[in-house]
Formats: sequence, C-alpha cells, structure tokens
Amino acid sequence: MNWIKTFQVLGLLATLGVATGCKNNVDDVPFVGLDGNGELKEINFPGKKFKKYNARAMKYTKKQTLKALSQVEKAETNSWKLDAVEVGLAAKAGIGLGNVLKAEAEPAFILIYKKRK
Amino acid sequence: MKKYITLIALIMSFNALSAGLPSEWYFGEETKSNKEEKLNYDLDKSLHSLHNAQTHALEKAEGEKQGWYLDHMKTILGLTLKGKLGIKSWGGKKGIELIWKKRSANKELVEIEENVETFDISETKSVNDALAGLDPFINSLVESGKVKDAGNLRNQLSDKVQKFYEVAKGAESSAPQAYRPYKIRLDLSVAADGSVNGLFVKVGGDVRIRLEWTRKNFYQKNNELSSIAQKAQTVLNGLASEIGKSIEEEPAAKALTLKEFKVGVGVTVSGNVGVAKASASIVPQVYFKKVSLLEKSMEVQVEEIPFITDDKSNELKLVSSTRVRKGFKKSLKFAEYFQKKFSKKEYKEGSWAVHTIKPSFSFDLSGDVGVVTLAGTAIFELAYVNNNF
Repeated sequence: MNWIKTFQVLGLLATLGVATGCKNNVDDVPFVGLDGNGELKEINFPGKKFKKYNARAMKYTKKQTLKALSQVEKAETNSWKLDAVEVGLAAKAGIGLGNVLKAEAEPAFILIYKKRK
Repeated sequence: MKKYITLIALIMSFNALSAGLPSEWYFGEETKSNKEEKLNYDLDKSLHSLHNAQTHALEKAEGEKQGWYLDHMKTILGLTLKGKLGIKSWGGKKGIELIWKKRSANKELVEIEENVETFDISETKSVNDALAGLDPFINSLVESGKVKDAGNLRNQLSDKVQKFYEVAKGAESSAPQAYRPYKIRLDLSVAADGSVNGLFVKVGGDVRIRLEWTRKNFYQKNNELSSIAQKAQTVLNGLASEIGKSIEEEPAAKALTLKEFKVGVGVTVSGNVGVAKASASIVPQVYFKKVSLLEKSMEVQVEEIPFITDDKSNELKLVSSTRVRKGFKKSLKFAEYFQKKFSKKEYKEGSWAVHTIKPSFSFDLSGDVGVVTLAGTAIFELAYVNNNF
C-alpha cells in the first residue's frame, strides 16, 4: 500500500534585501500579502533579479529535497512507501523590510515531486 | 509640433505604466479613489517576468531521470485593492492559482492530497455513525496531549459533522443535471482547548481534520430527507442548474476547458442553507463538474438562490437565479480574458507551461463578480485546463 506523504519546507526563495533599493519598474514581479493587522505588504522585485534568485532557490530546493527523500526511502517498509512529496517555498524578507518581517510568510510556490514507477 | 508629439508620447508612456488588472474584473472594500490611483506597474510585463523566471527555474528543479521528478508546481497569486497581481507571500486571500507542468509529460494533472486526517462520510448511514467514527481520533488527540478538553471538541465537532452530513445528503439526492456536485469538503483546525475553527483562523496548534463526501452513487431519490438536507438539495439543484446554463450561454474560451466549479455552501445556526456570502470560515466547499448521466436529465427551475449574508444574525438574502447566472457568466468571461495573457507566442515555447488556472471570485448580491482581492471573500473558484498545453 502506497502512502502519499506531504510535507512542507519553508525555504529561502530569495533574499529580498536588495528590494530596499528597488525602483518600482513595470517588469517587476510584485510580492504581496496582508500582515497580521490586515495591512497590505508589498515588495517589488526586479524581473531579471527574480529570475536569477528564483532559479538559484529552486535548484537548491531540488538538491535538498532529493537528499531528504533518499533518507526517507531508507526508512520505508513494505507497508509504508512514499510516492509524492509537496515542498512549499516562501519568500523570505531580508534587510530593511520593517513590518514585513513580522508577517508570517506563506508558501507562494509549491513544488510537487513524484516517484517514477 | 515636436512639443505636442513629446507630450502625447509622455501621456502614452504614463498610461502604459498604469495598467493593473482592469477594475471591471474585481471589487472589494476599496474606494473608487483607490482604484483610480495610478500604478507604476504593467500586468502584461509583470506576468511576462513571472513566466520567464518560472519556466527558467522549473528546468533547474526538474529532478532525476530515474527516481524522483518534478511533476508540477503551483504559484499562488494575490490581488491588491489597486489591481496589482503579485505573488502572495503573506496573509490574505488567494486570487489566482497557476499550475505549471512539463509539456512532454503526461497531460493529465493529478494533484496530491494533503496529509490531513480525513473522515469520509460518503457511505455513512446516520449522523451518529459519522460521529462514532470520530471517537478514535478524538481519543488519540487527548492521549497525545494535543487536546485537553475532549468534551468541548466532541460537542463542537458534533455540530459541524451534523451540518456537513445534511449538506451531503442534499447533494446525494440532487437532481441529475449536466453539472452535479461530486465532492464536498470541510477543512477544520482543532485548538488545544477543543475548539474547532476554519483553516484561516490560527489556533496555535497543528491539528487538522477534513470531512469529505464524494458521490458514490448516481441519483438517489430520498423521501426521508431532513429539513436541512431538503434545503441543501434545493440550493445545490439551483446552483447546478445555473452553472450549466451559464456555460451553455457563455462557452469558455477555446483554449480552456472548465474542469470544476467550487462553491461554499453553509448552514446557519437556525438551520437555513445558502451560498456562503458571509466571511464564515467554516463552510463546506461543494465541487461541481460535468458528468455523463446514466439517468435521464431532470430540468430544474429555481427562481431564487439563498445567500448567507451575515454569520451572526444568520441573515439570508434571496438572489434571483438570473443574477447568479450573470455572475457565473462574468467569471467565465474572465477566464477568456486571462487566458489571452498566456496565448501569446512566447508562452507557447519552452518545456514548461501553465497547465491549469484557478481563479477565485467574490460575488456581489447584485450579480456582479470579481476576482477576489487579498482582503475579499472568495465565494467560488473555477479550475480551467489549458487546451494549448
């Protein structure tokens, strides 16, 4: 019997410290949400930089996920087999973002890895 | 003359920098002045940047040729009150979910279920049976120390299960129509004192529970439905009818296929049933999809559909089915609008692409519909599959 096991890892998507110096450009990728007080929090991340950081973060996530999965597989038994895993990636605010740091980050990117049969 | 040309160019440039999601596609508690405030933002360019970055990064995250591979990825977007669509990174409601998949892979998307304790009541014969099924779970929570007050938990779950069961009974005996309820879900979180909340209420613990009903049988005429179940049946019949008619009158964009339609249907304290217009966090979600009918289709005529407008006073507002249909049709039009954003040639290249789009909508009792903003209340969600995938 296969078990679908889901776990979430809040990883580093991008160190948004550079956002402090970001201008609001039309090709920005905005990060939005509400803080604990219901106030809008918004960071505009330049498109090119987002592409670079995002690729780096996802490559890192893949590496860490596959490493963790190889450990999990060792613990599998005949009645407990992992065949899918969900990994959540959240933006992590960096320097100078004030109240944003107080808001709880939620996964904005959810990667679903499955095992080939 | 040169001066005028420069001026015109400046105006055009300013307009180009002020293009969020057009205000006709959303509404909320924002004021008109909020909407008119200029944004230094361009939706098309921002989506282009997002698409470019995501497809590039997805190639880096693909996985192994043998063993584990990246099957798909979800991006959660949120809409600000000014019409800016961004990656939802903190609190607030989800506006649109994009699901990315590799083109060369199996075209069918199989989403995995969350690892949550699920109680399937599809085959349950009575509320008492359903409640008895929860007892081992309650006992295990008490033994593990996660819940201190078992009595409170039992009482609170009893109320939720009873209401859920009645809605499920109504769905089970709903009329055979092209679109039918096929699944109902209610996700709850349990606090240490045994109180039960919707998932949007943080209770400090990590205990989650899901109640679920899925259609196991075809049309089951039931003459012994309770009053609540009968009301649920009427609401679900009305919704199914209006969803079907909306799709007939407003066919989806050619590039998209409607996969499912999800609506919140709640039960008030006084036992009324209605679409959850209020901000109630504990609302069963009813999933409709097109089905191949084995039995004869039954025509349903419903003049009005009740909406729960206030959680506390249990106030119901009857909305004409014409208005409901108008709203549903607008949500179908939005899909057409949004898919055009991804129909450009540049989005048809590359090994990864958007496979499914899930926009969530707010509903105004006048029949107007808009993509839900971060501070809004989602009433229904559509799931579209990209045919150009």
